Amino acid sequence: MLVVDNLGISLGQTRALRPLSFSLDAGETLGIVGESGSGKSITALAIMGLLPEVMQASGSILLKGENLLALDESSLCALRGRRMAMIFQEPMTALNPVMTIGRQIAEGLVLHGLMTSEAAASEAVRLIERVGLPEPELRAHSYPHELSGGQRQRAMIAMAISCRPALLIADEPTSALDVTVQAEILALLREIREETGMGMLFISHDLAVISKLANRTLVLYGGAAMEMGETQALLAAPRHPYTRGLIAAIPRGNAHTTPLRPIRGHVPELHGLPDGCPFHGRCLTGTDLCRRSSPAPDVASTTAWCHHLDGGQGA
Amino acid sequence: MRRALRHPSFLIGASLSAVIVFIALVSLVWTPHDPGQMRILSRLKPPDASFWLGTDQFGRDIASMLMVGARNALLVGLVAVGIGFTFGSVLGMLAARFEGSLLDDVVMRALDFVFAFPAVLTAILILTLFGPGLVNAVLAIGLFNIPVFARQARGATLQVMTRDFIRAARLAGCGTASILVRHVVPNILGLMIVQASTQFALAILAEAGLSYLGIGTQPPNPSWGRMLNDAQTFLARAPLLAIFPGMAIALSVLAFNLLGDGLRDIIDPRLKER
Amino acid sequence: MSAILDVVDLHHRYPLPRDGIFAQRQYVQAVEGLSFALEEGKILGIVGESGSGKSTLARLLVALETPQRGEVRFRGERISGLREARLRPFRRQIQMIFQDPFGSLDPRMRIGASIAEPLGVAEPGLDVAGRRRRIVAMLERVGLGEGAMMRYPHQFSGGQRQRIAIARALITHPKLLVADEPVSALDVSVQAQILNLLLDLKLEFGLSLVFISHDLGIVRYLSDRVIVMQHGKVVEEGESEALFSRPAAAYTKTLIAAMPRL
Repeated sequence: MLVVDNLGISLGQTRALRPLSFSLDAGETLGIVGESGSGKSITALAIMGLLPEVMQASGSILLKGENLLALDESSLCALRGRRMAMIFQEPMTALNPVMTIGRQIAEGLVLHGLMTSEAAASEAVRLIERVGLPEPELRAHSYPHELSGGQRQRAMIAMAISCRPALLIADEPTSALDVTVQAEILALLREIREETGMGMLFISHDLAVISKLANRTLVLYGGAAMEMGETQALLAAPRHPYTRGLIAAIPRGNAHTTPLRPIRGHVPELHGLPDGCPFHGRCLTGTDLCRRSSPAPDVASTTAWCHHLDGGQGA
Repeated sequence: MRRALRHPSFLIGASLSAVIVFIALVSLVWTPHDPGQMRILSRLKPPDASFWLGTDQFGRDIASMLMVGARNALLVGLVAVGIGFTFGSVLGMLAARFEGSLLDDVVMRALDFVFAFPAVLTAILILTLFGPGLVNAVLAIGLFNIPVFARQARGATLQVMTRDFIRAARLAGCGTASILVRHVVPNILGLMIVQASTQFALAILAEAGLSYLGIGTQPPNPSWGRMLNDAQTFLARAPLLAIFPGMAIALSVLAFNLLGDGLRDIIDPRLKER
Repeated sequence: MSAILDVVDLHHRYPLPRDGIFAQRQYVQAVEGLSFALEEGKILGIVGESGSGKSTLARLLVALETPQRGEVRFRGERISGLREARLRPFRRQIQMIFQDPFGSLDPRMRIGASIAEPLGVAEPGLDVAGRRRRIVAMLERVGLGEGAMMRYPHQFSGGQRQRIAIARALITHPKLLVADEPVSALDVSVQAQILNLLLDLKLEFGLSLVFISHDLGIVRYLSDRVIVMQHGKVVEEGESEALFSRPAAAYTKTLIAAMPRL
């Protein structure tokens, strides 16, 4: 359904994202995990056609066979909300503060010519009920600031799924929420995915959250792919040193029994990135080769981009 | 700094302001003619080689009067904004530090009181009570500047005070005074300077207005506002007489406003950057 | 073992903005009847969601706020409600690190001056060279070099800034450190570094630690004892391992169940 082929993003001379390819089927969820500067959010923006003007995208993004990068702004507008929708980390900034929830949800339906405004209004109430907000009739007349953070995220989801898009992009949708609310939102997203059969790109810095939702996972670092594969396989036997480091850096148990092994160094600035593997400066197995050249993908239990894969199998 | 040089409104504002300041400074040591000297035989002359901008109805040299007028305008701006800046900033910062206390309430209500009066009317009242003149005009304009700066300082301070580095300074054992001086002032100074630049333009305008009404700068000390008033009678015969001081006022207000806008744009992104 | 920190029946509330001059003032109760103790040399983890009052508690513990009722005692001496001047001797012994390493350092102050600030108050007798030696040693201890002294906060990454904040907090050799979500704003790969640094420094400096976080995994990793807070009250308290493996309160069970795990 979604085929991203050699998508590269640059900011002047700086490469913000190195050529990246992946695909997504209907009903499937691809998790994209990465730290700050990994390129995960600009990948999402590029697909939505929302990249800042100063950035240029190359390659192609095919949504149901249509190359999004070749479309002009008005055709993209027609697709946004209709065929693809996005939810953000902070719903408060994504919702219009002076418009009721009900009207904001109905707006997309009317705008894309799917319904009359009366029908859209009652559909909005149905959607509000669907995302699990109590007293949907009443909530439709609420303003965003009258809702809690979790409720606002539910309203955002209702808005995003209103036109039954084929693709939903969720960029850190639960990172600002409490754990108990996060669990509810993740469950809701799972239900909706089953119901509508839409494909989902789920972006997060938190590998544990991703593992709750994603069938496949893509690990990004410094604007380049590190490893991609079935989530279970990737977590059970990570092949790339970065993925292994990331998993080892998550606390489990107690400091006395299972001490943490952190990744050394700090996340590099995008414009200071080396030519070769962006992780080589922090990698324990990094060599001169890693600094000089970008590794080619190595396909085994997962696909990994690394020069030193210990014979191709995980640690 | 590099950003400053790329910013057009800052560049224009800064160079215009610099020219005005330069002219005012030159007038301290040299003017083409004595600005007070009257010449019965050369009244209302158009610009020529000797009198660059012509003469007025008493035969005084317009160029020289404008130069000294610039000095007066800048002096008024400097002292009036200085008064507003100093008292306003201190009051605003103290009100913010003791937010919600009696001090805060009293200071802010008193300033609201000053704010509520129409500035020009009250300035006229003050000048009628205490007598017209440059000094009293400066004090009146300065007084109305205090609440402007106080509000800005209070708002900016309140914002800075919520930041964790203020808490960290308290944990380090710093007292109120040292927190205000070491942490708050450097962080609000940029905003305050922007405000000062805008207020400076307004002060020049206010001085011109009061002098136009005859209660600001007194003769024979030249002032742009009074030159404008004098020119009114001869508007049909010698329109240049009104155009030159009018342009001087407009250009300097524009200059300091542009400077302020430019500074705001240059300082703001740095604040956003945190 | 004696307690370094005693908290007795602590209450704190915040005033809400008034609707009008004559309206009755309304309050939010942030902390309600908290009592607990921290043993010398131990780590106490405090877990809670937003609105649980855990950040208010942090500020009460380091005497940045004065409680409406109840007491905070440091080695048996009451520190809550003291005037700033009476508090000063305690300041150097009780320090805090904040969640946002972008906000806890003055953006207009060089790193060297920032770290020197608490030292100047605590040890006014120290000469310039001695002060510099202490700062450099501390910077090196947290993994930064002498070169950091002349630079400004915005020239560092989040993790480096948190290291600087730690250096600043520990420069006066405090005995009690309150850490309010110190790694929540950091990248995952950097979080583990900071946690390990805190553990190392705790041993080296003989610190007792109050570690506040919403992240159960991290609290479990670090803490000897754990307090679970909800709506300003203690829901459950116990030894870390016991609490996480056999939670008693329904809310604790909900939290643990909701925690995403690999």
